[in-house]
Amino acid sequence: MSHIARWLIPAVGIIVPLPSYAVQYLSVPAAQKECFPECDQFMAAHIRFTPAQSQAIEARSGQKELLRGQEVWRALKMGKLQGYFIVDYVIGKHLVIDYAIALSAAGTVKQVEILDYRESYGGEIRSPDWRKQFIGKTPQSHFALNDGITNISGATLSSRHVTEGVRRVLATYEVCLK
Amino acid sequence: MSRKVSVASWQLMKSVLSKIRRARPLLGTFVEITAQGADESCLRAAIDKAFAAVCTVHRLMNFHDPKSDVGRMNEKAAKRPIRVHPWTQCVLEAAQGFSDKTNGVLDVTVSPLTRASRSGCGSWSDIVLSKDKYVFFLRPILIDLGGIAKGFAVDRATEALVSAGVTGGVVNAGGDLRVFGPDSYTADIRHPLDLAPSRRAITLQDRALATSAVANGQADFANLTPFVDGRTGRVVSGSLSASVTAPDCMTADALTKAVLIMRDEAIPLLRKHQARAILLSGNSAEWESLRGNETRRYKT
Repeated sequence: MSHIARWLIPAVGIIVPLPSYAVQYLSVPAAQKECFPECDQFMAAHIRFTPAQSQAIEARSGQKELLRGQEVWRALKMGKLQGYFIVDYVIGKHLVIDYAIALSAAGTVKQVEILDYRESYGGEIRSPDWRKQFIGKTPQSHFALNDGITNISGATLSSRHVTEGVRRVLATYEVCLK
Repeated sequence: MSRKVSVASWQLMKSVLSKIRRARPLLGTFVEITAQGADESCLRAAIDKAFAAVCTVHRLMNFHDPKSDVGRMNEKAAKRPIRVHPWTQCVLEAAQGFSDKTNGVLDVTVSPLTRASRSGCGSWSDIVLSKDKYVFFLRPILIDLGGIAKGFAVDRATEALVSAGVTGGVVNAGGDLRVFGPDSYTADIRHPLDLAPSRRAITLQDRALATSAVANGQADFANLTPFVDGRTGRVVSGSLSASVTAPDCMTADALTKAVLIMRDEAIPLLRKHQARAILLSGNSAEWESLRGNETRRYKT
């Protein structure tokens, strides 16, 4: 987590703490196994962008490069490259969403999995009924949607930022991995 | 067997069941699937199948993709019959049924997307469906299945989970969701205007829930899709959210729009589909519940 913070915070600035919820769907190792079940080794090959690479990625994807690097693992089966497992971060509505992209060795998207989903609540926290459900929950206590905290209908969240993120990661592949 | 015993045995069984949740970006939102069952690797395979079903719907019914069934129909179906996937045929048939029952209030040829591309010169009655999955348009119209396809995708994903032996779970496509199995789930309905204090919780068991909302004049919510009355071409005004519970998600999805536009007039339609609706008004702390032949108004 610490190296994630190092990459994100200088670029994003201070994130205002809002009342929020978080769901962890998959850890990085679990997601690796799920995206590449046939692979026996995931070799870290993290990239720290040079200014030239950052510029090239921005030009290719049409997006401002938020991260200073990219967490990449080479997925290997008996030492042979099967593809790339890449962790990326985008801002959802207010907070950061961690997600993973599995690329084939040729650079096509195999799978996109949400790892950690965080979202803040807006004005509804003013309702006492709403706040009541948080009573007795500490940040350490494991809670998730439907496990104590209710599900929400009527506030469809756009996945546009993830779609843009995938485009940026594909540009990263072209510039740095191909 | 008495209900008490079966509940107790279910509780016992539940303690040995595993539960998996996954989320992927699909249909322009986050699709979350929760599945409960005895064997974790089976659950994983089932969830993969369910996401694949959602992908298929996404691929077939994406208005913006010229290679999708919808894209192909919009381009060519006025010139010659176009063969479509059985699922597309199924959604079109359902859409025709809803258009018929609402006298054209719900109309797949009238959406902000189709209106932006071309001025409307036809309606849902210009769509001809043949039994062998060919579609022909009597006039050059554009169709947009956005108001119904998301619910359909949720239903296909649910079906995939059930047929793969999953005992219970939830498929949630950005708030359009379906619950199946012996467990009940609670969903909170909120108006897109976060500031509205009115909120309701609904507990669902083997049922679907969908919500549609309008928030006109609110810059922050400009990305909300406007809803158009197929009879008049008028956009629904005001600040309102309609949630519908129904046995399946496609019905719930379609009926939210009917309720937004028709209000009390939609009650017979709701009854016919064993559906219930809750309307939240963004301007006042009021909500209405439409059920059977009555409307109840509440203050929160």
